[in-house]
Amino acid sequence: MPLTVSSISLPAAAREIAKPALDGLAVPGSGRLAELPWNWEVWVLVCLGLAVFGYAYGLRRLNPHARSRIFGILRIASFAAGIAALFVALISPLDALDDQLFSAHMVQHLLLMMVAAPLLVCSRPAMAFLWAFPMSTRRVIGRIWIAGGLHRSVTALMSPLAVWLLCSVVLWFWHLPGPYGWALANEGIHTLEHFCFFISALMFWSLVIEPFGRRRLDYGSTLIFVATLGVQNGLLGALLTLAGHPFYGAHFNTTEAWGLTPLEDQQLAGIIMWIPASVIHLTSLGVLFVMWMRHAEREARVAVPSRTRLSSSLAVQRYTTVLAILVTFGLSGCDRHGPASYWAMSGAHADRGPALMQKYGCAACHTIAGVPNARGQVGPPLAQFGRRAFIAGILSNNPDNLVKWLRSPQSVIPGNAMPDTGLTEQDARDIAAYLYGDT
Amino acid sequence: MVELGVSRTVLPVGSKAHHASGWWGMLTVIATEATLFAYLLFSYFYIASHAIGAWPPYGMPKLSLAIPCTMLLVAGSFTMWWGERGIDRDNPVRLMIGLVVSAVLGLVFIALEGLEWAGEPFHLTSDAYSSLYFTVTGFHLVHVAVGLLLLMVLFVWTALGYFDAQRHSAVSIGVLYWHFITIVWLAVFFTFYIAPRLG
Repeated sequence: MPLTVSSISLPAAAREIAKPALDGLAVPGSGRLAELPWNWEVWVLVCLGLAVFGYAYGLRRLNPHARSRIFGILRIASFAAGIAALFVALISPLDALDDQLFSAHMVQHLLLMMVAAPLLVCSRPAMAFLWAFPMSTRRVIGRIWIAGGLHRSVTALMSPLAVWLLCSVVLWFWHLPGPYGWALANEGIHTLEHFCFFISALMFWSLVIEPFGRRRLDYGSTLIFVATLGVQNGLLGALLTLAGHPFYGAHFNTTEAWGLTPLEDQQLAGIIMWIPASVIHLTSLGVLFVMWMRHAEREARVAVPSRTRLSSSLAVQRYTTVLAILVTFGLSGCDRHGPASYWAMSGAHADRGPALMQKYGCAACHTIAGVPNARGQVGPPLAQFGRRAFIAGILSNNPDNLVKWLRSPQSVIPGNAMPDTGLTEQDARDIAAYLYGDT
Repeated sequence: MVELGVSRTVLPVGSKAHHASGWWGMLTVIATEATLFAYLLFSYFYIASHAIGAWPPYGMPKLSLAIPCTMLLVAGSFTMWWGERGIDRDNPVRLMIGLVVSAVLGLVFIALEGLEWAGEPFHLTSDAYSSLYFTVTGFHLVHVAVGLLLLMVLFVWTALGYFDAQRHSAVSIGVLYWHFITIVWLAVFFTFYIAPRLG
């Protein structure tokens, strides 16, 4: 079907049907972007302003160490980008244009759901907002959260099946000509429409991204979750692109000013919904798949020492690991210093160890020889580390695993008492070298 | 004289918990059937988007039978859930009641659908709308009929005492299918009966 079907004018019947919806709104525009107004509606500005203030203030109250650990520059940047996307979608002339062009409306929805929502979810806003309050208020909020049943209802609402159904219903319902027309005819319903899209998108991306790491939906199921919703989105986009007549009466006499027939406008919107949105869905599927494989690798590495869960694929991995160690041994023989110890770590400075362990607070929980005042009793003493069979009772004791464990204990055993301290690779290697040096 | 000793110990039937291979099998069945219905419903919307003249061509489809049908299937899902909870607590009688009530609800659903079919002024071959209508609701009816068969088998197995609190994966698998039929009906109901009214 050719995309330019401008010669086909609207069926007269369609114009008749659309008439009631046109009363009192959708005045044809001038067709010039510069003449479109900005939307300085107070409550939109207040909401955006509050969000930015809450985030910034929360970050300010956190100590710098925790801030860089929990948020970091990337998350803060993604918050800024998310807010910028919201600003473009809700305040820039795009908002005024969406009354005139269905395709502009589609771009706005795409910005809300596929750009702003994932960026904001990545930036962990809830945690920053919480920190914007003083300790006593945070406690009250926590108490209400648990005791008021909020926690339970949010958990129930966030169950993957509920989110999947909600996203599907929201998607199809609001693109039916009737509800779409109501939204354009009534500002309140229009706001409700955007609210539905935005909230369902936040829920969707929260399950997909899981900014705090503990997944409610495992990787394989998340792939199905994203793919099935993505396909629905694609089908609807295809439907709009391939349709034989325009659906949305509210745009019937506003598109001409922009050089488009209503059908062309709808085809453009359909393509926008079909292709860019699907690219985002596909990209997230790819990223999820890679994360899934990494996760599986880590699980396998953790599983190897237990020996009971050894399957054939794990056995292959194990032999590869053994081979790699043997090769390392062989190569270490080439070192001009002669055969090095198994624990030797290249490029690490064991002498930096004590100072680093002071700096990162290891000494607060562990008793460590050679580190002043390191008499903590929370974790095990770190003497003669090289003689141990396991790290944290689960990883085989070798330099790579020790560095991995030091850098992010929470990713190895989520919820264990040892916090992620934000060690850099080099610092972790130096500390490991010091610990093994004590052997 | 030869004495025959018959052991009184009976080996359990079926796997523990519901993540048996049958469970994954049912999930793949659901995946293929859901794909089938997704394409059928997409064809409905696609043909509607190309229709010349009024859509639906015979006026708005009547809700007088469709709404009771919807309530029957939703209620059937609840009774099956209730029955499954029964066997979770080692109560096969409750499961049997749940199975019978769900099956009766399913039967009434099929009867009401038949009534609606009989009352339609068009045939399978009248036009695109009529063939979509009979194909989609027909496919769904076939799935309900298969579901009824499943419930009957489960009933017999429960009566024979095959299930207890630990081992009832077949029940969980059947319940999963029954919920799937309900959800598909909700999509069919939305497409054929609600969407034209919001057009």
